[in-house]
Amino acid sequence: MTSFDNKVPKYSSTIKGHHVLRNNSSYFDSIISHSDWADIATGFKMRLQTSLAEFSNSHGELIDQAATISSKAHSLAHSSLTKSVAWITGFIQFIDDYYCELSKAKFGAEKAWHVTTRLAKRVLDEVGTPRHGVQNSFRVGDSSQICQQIFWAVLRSHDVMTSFSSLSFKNHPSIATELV
Amino acid sequence: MANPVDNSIHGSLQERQEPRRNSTALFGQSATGNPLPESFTGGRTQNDAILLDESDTGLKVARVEHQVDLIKQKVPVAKSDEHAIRFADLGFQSSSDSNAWLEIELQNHQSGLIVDAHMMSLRTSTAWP
Repeated sequence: MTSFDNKVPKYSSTIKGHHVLRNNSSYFDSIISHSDWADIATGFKMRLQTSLAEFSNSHGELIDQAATISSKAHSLAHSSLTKSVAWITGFIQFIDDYYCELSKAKFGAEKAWHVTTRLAKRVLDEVGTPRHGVQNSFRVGDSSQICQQIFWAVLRSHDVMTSFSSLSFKNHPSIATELV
Repeated sequence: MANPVDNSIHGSLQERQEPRRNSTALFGQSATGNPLPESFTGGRTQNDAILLDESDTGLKVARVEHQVDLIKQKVPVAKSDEHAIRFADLGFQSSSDSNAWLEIELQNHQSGLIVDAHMMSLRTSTAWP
């Protein structure tokens, strides 16, 4: 439920709202440089991928235990899990590819990471928008109402995710807007 | 003496603002002064057209509604409506639709089973230092 606190996941940024940055600073204050992201041993990307695989397995088992197999809820839960994993994998690839393209275009490492994280943050902002503020509408103790609010926000978030993945992230209109 | 050029311009503008209409309009055909040629069937035969100035209104309305129903069947709601939820072809138009789905399919209120990228990001990050 705490995932509704921020538009951008806390692992990448702990700062809420808008803040002013230098021209070559990372938009993810928890991932300051590209090496923090891509380092083979300690990089965020590697840890994210490892955690992603572990979570995928454990959550898949949880779904099988909690929902009746072959029910609509069961298939929807598995579909959401599969699509979320695929989306994050695509998002990671987008970050890598975009940084690589900027590096080839003679951008410096800091500047390339600055632009890449700016676009990545925009993607996360867009995906987080349907979820943002939902927590304020929760009625304490009313699990049915909270479930409804979360479910609706998650479905809308999935539609935004699909809009990005179907356009290979970089072709999404909001990316072009961010680059202007 | 009126200028014929001016008159023609005036007439043209008037026609644009107030197009002449036929007294008998056919469903699926143009109602302006320039009806569609007879060779144009609009995808169906002339006999399928619904005359709007005849009696049997109830029957005509039923025919129109039937045609609309056929069109609806051909176009899935989830893909045609921008506001509908497209994920998993659910097609919910509003939160009340999803609430009804939940009441039927997820009665234990386990909304945590259905995750998105944000929820996954948070859960995977808890294992990190």
